[in-house]
Amino acid sequence: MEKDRILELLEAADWKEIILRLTHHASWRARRYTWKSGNPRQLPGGKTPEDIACSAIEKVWSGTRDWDPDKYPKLLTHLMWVVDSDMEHLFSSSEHQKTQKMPTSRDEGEPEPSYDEIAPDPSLPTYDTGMVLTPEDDLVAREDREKGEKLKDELYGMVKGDEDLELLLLCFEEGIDKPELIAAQTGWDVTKVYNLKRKLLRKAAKLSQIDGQRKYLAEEEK
Amino acid sequence: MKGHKGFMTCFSNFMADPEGLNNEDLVAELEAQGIDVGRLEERVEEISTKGSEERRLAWRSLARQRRAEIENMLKSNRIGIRAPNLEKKIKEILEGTYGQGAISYAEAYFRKRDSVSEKDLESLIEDLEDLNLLEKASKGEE
Repeated sequence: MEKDRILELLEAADWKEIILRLTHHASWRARRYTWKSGNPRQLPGGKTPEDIACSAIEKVWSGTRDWDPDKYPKLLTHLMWVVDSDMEHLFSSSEHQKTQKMPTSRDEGEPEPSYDEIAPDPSLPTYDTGMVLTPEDDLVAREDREKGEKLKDELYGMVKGDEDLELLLLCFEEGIDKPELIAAQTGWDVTKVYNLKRKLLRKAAKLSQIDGQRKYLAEEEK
Repeated sequence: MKGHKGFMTCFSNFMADPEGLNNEDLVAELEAQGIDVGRLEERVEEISTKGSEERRLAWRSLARQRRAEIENMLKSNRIGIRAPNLEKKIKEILEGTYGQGAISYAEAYFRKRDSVSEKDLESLIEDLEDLNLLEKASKGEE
């Protein structure tokens, strides 16, 4: 029985490791959005990124977001997609609040999107899906863009003198973000790319402005 | 430019992917954000325990329902032969003597056949035993 097999796989999963990885992902994902609180740790409804991560795990256990291990063997990848989708939904809901519409919460009777409906790139902004930009939105977008530029400058300043990290940032300039592709582009071993990620992670913690990149990210993809 | 990810998108995607980071890196990062990692681990433990119990309950309920369906098949005219000893053995399987996994197997077996002969029943029992499904399933039972 398929359900039986999924149950066995879920019971065998290393949840302590998964929650660390999933919370890391949720935490970075939250920084992509401009939240009304101004803080990526204070999400609408009093939620935090770790709440989103825990909620994703609950949904997979309950079958609300059923996992198909044949189609998607890595449980963590499935969970990260659930987090991405839920984060996007949470952001959209908060946008509705901002425009005085009734908030729509996923847990209030709205049917869950199917796995295939999870957007491959949830960074697409809400206002691209039908909302009309107001002059205020334009202003906010401009401010976000400026913040993005400032962050980028800070990043370059931070890695100055470290040739490897500078080259890594150049890969980002080229639109390359997958470790395997970065390794291929630079001639590095993938392990080296991961080591640089760890190094960048420690440095990034010192950045003054790392959140609120949502609209900037959307703008630069146009 | 469409189709070309920008710098910040790439930076964000790269950093959000935990691949290549070890648990020490992750714990240090989360704690630096003020997250109580111990409490987080407790939370996921609670979610998993509750999720497992609920999922098992739901699964057992489904298995009981399917067992009833198979028992009805055994009573129906689809078995047009007199094979009481084999029927008895199948019923023992369905009653849980050999575990829930056997029910799934038997259900799939019956689904493939419009009618069931004595040979079919013998074959079913042999398959269940050969595949070691019965023992495996009964081990998984509470």
